[in-house]
Amino acid sequence: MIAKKICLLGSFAVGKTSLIRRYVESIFSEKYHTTIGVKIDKKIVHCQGQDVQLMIWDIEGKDEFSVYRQSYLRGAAGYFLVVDGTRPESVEVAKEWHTLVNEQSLSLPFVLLVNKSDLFYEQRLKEENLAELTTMGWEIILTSAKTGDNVDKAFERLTTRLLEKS
Amino acid sequence: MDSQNLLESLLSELDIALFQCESPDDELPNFQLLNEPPSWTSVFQDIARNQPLALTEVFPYLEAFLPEARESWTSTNNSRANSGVWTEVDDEGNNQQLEALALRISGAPILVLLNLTRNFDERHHLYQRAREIALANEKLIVQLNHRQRELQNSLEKRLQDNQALRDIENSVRNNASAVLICKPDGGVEIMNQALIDIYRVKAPEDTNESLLDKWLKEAEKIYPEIHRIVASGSYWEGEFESHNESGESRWIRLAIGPVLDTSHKLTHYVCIANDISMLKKSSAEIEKLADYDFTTHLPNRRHFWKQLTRCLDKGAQKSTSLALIYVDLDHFKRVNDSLGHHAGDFLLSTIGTRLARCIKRGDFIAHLGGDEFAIILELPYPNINIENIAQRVQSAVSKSITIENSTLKMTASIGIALYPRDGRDATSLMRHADLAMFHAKKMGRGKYQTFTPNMNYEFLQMLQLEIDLQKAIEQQQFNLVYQPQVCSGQDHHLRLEALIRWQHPEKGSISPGRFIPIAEENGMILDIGLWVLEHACKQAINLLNEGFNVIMAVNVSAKQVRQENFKDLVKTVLTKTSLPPQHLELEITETTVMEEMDVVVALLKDLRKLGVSISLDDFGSGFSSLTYLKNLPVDYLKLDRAFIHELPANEESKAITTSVINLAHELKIKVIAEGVENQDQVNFLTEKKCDYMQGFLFYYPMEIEKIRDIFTAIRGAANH
Ligand SMILES: Nc1nc2c(ncn2[C@@H]2O[C@H](COP(=O)(O)OP(=O)(O)O)[C@@H](O)[C@H]2O)c(=O)[nH]1
Ligand SMILES: [Mg+2]
Repeated sequence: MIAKKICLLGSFAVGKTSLIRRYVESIFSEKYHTTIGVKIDKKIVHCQGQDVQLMIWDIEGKDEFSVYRQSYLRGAAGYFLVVDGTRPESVEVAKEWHTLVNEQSLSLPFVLLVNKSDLFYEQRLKEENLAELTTMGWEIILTSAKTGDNVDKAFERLTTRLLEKS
Repeated sequence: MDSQNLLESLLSELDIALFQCESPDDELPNFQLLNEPPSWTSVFQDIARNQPLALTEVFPYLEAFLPEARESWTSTNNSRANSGVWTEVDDEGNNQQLEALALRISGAPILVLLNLTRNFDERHHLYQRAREIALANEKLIVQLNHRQRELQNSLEKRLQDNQALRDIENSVRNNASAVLICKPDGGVEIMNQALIDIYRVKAPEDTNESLLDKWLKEAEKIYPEIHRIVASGSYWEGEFESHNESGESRWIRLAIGPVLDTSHKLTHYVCIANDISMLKKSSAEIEKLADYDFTTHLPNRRHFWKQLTRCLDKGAQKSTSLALIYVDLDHFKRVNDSLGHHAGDFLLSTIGTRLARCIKRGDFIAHLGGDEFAIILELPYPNINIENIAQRVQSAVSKSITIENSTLKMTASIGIALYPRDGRDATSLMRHADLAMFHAKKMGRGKYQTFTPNMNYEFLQMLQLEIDLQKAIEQQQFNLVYQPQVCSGQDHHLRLEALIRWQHPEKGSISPGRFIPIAEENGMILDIGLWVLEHACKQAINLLNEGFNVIMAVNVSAKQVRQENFKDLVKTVLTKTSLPPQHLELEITETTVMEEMDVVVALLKDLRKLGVSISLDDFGSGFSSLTYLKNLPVDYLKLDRAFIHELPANEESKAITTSVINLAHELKIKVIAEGVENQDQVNFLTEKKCDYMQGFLFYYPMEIEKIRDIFTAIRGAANH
C-alpha cells in the first residue's frame, strides 16, 4: 500500500484539528484545545482503485509562539490551506503559508478549505477575496468540521489530486 | 552505585531515552538504545535495549527530521538539531508529547528523545491562553471594522444627498467612534464629542494644523502609500500610533473615506477613528504571559531569576545592597486539602496581591510556585532594619481571609538573605534565603529569620537531631518532670503540669523548645504526645492511690488535636491506666484553637463530656481577642509568661492581666499565671484574685520522687 503525507496549514483556531478529527474519528467538539507542535493521524482511503495510507499532519497554527520547521513539509505529497470563513485575517495567514511552501521550492497540489461554513450568518469573507484566489488557480471547498459538510469530499479531492500528480 | 548506573537512572528519571544511530547514511537508519529505557517507553511497541531499532517507523515524525539530524551528526562545530514537539498516540491510546535532539558526542551520532508529557500542561495552558486572547482581539477588531464601515457608508450617503450638516452632526454627536468630516483642504465641518474627548483636540476654531494632516503624517510611518491613496480619492483604512496634544500615545484604527459629488469632484473626507490601544496592549501582554504566574498574576520563577540576576549586576556596578526575602506559607497544603484547590488558588492570589501592595515601587515580587513567594528589595543603605519589612510581610499574610464562609488566618515562614553580605551570586543568595526560611519554619510557624553563616552547620545539626529523635522514643530517652501549681485560695486539689525532657545519650539534656518543633514538623509529636499522656496518667493514678488528690495537666499539640481519633485515644489511655477523668487536664494552646476553631471547639466539648478538664495555654500570645473566650469550652486559662514577666512594672501588662482575670471569672473560668518569678508578681496577682500560680519562685519542674516528698510534707503540715 502506498503512503502519502499531507499537511494542514493555516492560522490557529481555524479548525485544522477539528477537520482531522471529523475525518478520522467522525467526532467534533466545540471546545478549543490548541495544538502545540505536530500530531500525525493516519487513515486509509480507497481512491482511484487503490488503497492509500494517508499520513495527516496537523501542524500548529502560525503565530509568534510557534517556530516553523522545514521538516514539517518535507516529504509531503500535498496540503490543505485552512481558513475560517468568519475571520478574514485567516486568509492572510493562509497566503503566508502558501508563500512559505513555495519558498521551500515545493510545488505541491493543495486545496483551500474555507471552514466553519455552518456559521452561516457570521461569514465575513468577501466574495471578491475568494474570487481573487480562484483566479490564481486555487481550488476552494467550503467545509464544516461541525456538521461534517464536505469534509470527506475535501480529503478525497486532495487524495485524487496527489495521485494524479504522481 | 557506580556512576554509569547513576547516570542511567538519572536519564530515566528525567524521561530521557538516549539512542545512538548505527547507520546514519541509510535512508531509514537503525538506532540502539543506550540507557535503561525510561518508563514511558513501555507504552510504545518495540522499544527495548540491545536490539537495533528502526525509530523512524515507531515515530514517523522523525523521518522528516532525519536530514537536520544527519547534518548535526556530521557537522564539526557541535551543532545540534531540535525536532520540535510532536504528539504521539501510544499503544494505550494516550497522547505523549515528545521532542528529539540530534547531536554528536565524542564522534558518535546521538539522538536524545525527551518525553515532555509530564510538564506539558503548563506550557499548553500558556499557549491556549495566548491564542484565546489573540482570537478575542481579532473578533473585536472585525466587529469594530464592521461598525466603522457601516457608519462610513451612511455618512457618505447623507453627504451625497446634500443633507443639512446640522442634521448629520446631530446623528453622530453621541457616537462612540470619533467622527471628523472635513473639506478637501482640511477645514473642519463636523467633529463629534468622542473625537474631542479621546484625542483631546481643541474646538475647531483653535486648530491650526488640521487633524487630518496630523493623522496622515503619523500613519505615513507605517503606510507610506497613504498620501497617494487619499489624494487619489480612494478609501483607506489602517492602524497606527497617534499622539494627542498632551503627548500621550495611543493606537487608533482610522478609516478615511472621500465623498465625491455627481461630477466626481471631491467634496469631503469622512474620517472615523477608534481607540484600539487596549487591543494592542493585550497582544503585547501575551508575550509577557510566559513570565507570569496564572494564579497570582505575579512574575513567576523564570522571571524572578532574570530579575534577580539583573538586580545583582546592577548592585555590583553601583555597589548597592539588596535583600532577598523568601516567603513560604505555613500549612498551605492543609487549606488546599480541606477546602479544595479553588480555595487554595484564591488564597494564593489574595496573599499575592497583599504582598505586592506591601512593597514599594521599584522592588520586585514573584510567585515562585506552590506556596512560595520571593521579594527583592533594593536597600538604600546596608544596615536598614529588615525586621520591619519582615514584620510588614508577615502581617500582610496574616490578615484574615474569608473563603467560602470560613475565615482563615495564614502565617508564613520568612527567610532573608542580604547581598552582598550573604552571597554575591543569585544561586547562593537564593540558597541562603531558603535556608533561613527553613530555620524560621523549624522555629515554629509564623517566624522570620535572617541568614547567618552558621545556619549551614545548624541545618546539619537539625537533621541529625531529627534522626536522633527517631531513636529517642525507641530507646526511652524521654522522661517527665512535674511542676506544681500553687493555689492562691483554697483548693483540695494538688495540681501538677507534666513536662517532657530529653536526655540525649551524647548531647545531654535537650530542651523541648528545640525538639518539639521538629517533632511537630515531622509528625513524631503524635507518638511522643501519646507517650507523655500515658506516662503522666500512670503517675497520676499512682499518686492518687497514695492518697494525693492530684490533677495532672498534660500538654497537647495541634497535630494531636487534629488526629481524627484523638478523643478515643484519650479515652483508651484513661481506661488503660484506670485514672478517673476528672484528674486529667489537657492543655491546648490558644493558636491550636484559633487555627480551626469550629473543629477544635467540638472536640473540646467532647473531651469535657468525658470528664476531663481543659486549659487554654499561652493565652494572650496569639491573636485571639477576649471576645472569643466566651465561646470556648475551657475550664482554665493560662496567662502567657510574657505578661507575667512584665508585671507589675508594665502598665499595659497590668491592664491586660486584670481584665483577663475579671472576664475569665465572669465566665467561670479559672486563671493560672505562668512563669511567676518574684514576690511583686505574686502580690499583684493575689490582689487581682488570680486563682493559681506556677513558676520558679515556688517550684522548679521536678522528678516524681521529689514531688512525692513535697506532697508528703504538705500533707504532714496539714495534719498538724
Ligand atoms: N462552528 C464551527 N466551529 C468549528 C468548526 N471547526 C472548528 N470549529 C471550532 O473552532 C475552534 C478551533 O478549532 P481547532 O480544530 O482546534 O482549530 P486549529 O487550531 O486550526 O486546529 C474550536 O472551538 C472548534 O470547535 C466548524 O466547522 N464549525
Ligand atoms: Mg489544532
